[in-house]
Amino acid sequence: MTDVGLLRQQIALLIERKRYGDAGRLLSEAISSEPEDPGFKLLAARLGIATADYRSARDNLEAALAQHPDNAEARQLMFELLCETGQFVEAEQTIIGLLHDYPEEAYFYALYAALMLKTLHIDKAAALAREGLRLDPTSSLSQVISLMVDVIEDRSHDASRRLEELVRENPDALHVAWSVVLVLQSRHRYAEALQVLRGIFRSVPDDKEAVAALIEMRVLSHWSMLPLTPLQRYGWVGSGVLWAVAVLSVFLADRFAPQITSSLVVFYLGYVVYSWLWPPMLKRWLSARGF
Amino acid sequence: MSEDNHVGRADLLSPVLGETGPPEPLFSTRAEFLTAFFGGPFAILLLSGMNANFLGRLKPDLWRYVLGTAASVFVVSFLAWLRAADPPPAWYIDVAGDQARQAVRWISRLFALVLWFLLWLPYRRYHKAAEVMGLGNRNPWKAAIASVVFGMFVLFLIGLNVAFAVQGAS
Repeated sequence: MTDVGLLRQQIALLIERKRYGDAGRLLSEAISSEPEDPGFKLLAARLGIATADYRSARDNLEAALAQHPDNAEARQLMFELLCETGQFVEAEQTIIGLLHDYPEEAYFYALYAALMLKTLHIDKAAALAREGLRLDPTSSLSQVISLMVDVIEDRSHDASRRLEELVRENPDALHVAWSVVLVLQSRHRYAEALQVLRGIFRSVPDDKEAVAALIEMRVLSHWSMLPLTPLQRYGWVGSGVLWAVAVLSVFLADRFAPQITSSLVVFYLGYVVYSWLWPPMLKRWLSARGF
Repeated sequence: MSEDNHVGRADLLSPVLGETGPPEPLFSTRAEFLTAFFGGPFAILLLSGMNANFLGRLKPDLWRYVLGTAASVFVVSFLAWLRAADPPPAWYIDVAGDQARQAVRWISRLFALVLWFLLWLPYRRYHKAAEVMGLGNRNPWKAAIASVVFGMFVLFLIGLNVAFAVQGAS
């Protein structure tokens, strides 16, 4: 491999490991010595997307695409940039263009599926992920999207089966660990989800998303949340049913056992106040104390 | 962002975002529930209709809202008649006893919650998708308060109408 090739590989690795400062320094040196090299421009664009410096990413991508308009990597990065900046219509046009030119590329189907899920086109996301898996049954992004659709559609058995495949094929991948958390949470197994999240947190301690999810899961799995299980499991539908049961109980008590009516009302109101006040207080306390 | 339940392979590469534009965040399930609880059936019809519009589903699902409005007018009018009738029908007194007046309010609220559930259920997958994808929700305060005020006003109008009708008949 040439020196330039080695340098590109080193920068790509630094970006992958989130050492953006080092990657930026090396890239500046590389671009000043090889200003027309499209590979460095693409790496600069990748770094721009990773660090939310979208203007720099766009400038570099436009320069790379001006040199090589059909470059698949540049077009894929442009798609990612457009997704990050919320230009979903343009992102869709870009990925469809890529799929017309590379109709057998499973990863592009998976990227399109991710965009569809992000824009709440659930059925199309599922169909695209299926096509991605048909072309490449090991495509982990297609599997993750399919798993998310299974969770959204409450097909927990399908989600668990898909998760097993994902874990078998990519046991150490971070996205797989997040998928495990998603499935466990959807099955209300908060204690196990907390254990997986602790593992994620240990591998990426600076990840704000991991910290927030860890606190959230710590709250959900805390022993004091046990009385709120029906509300956790059934959400606002559970709240509605609880209200209806409480009203009916008060109504019946008032007719047949009026001496317990006031106790019932106090118990119900106490439960409602507990369900409203305790979770945010617990979250604040756990955040301050550490988890 | 209306979509059919089945996407064939031929449709995979047809753009869908160009037709509907970028997605709009939704009012949360909590906002809808509380609006139904405090504002009644007409309030939740309005807020849920806004969410359907954000999803691009108002046109295909308009029948739900028309049906919901018709059912709400019927149920609310019936409950207003129960409240205005003097004396209330004997069968109602038998069932509700001393709680006759209060039970009307409870049934009205229960109806609003059932209506919320029926309107929310078909969109549950979109709420869940937004949650799984971390898309966040729209700030509900202005729309929810406006819906509650609107809902109460319609309830008041129907109640007034029915009360006059009952008075006129007696």
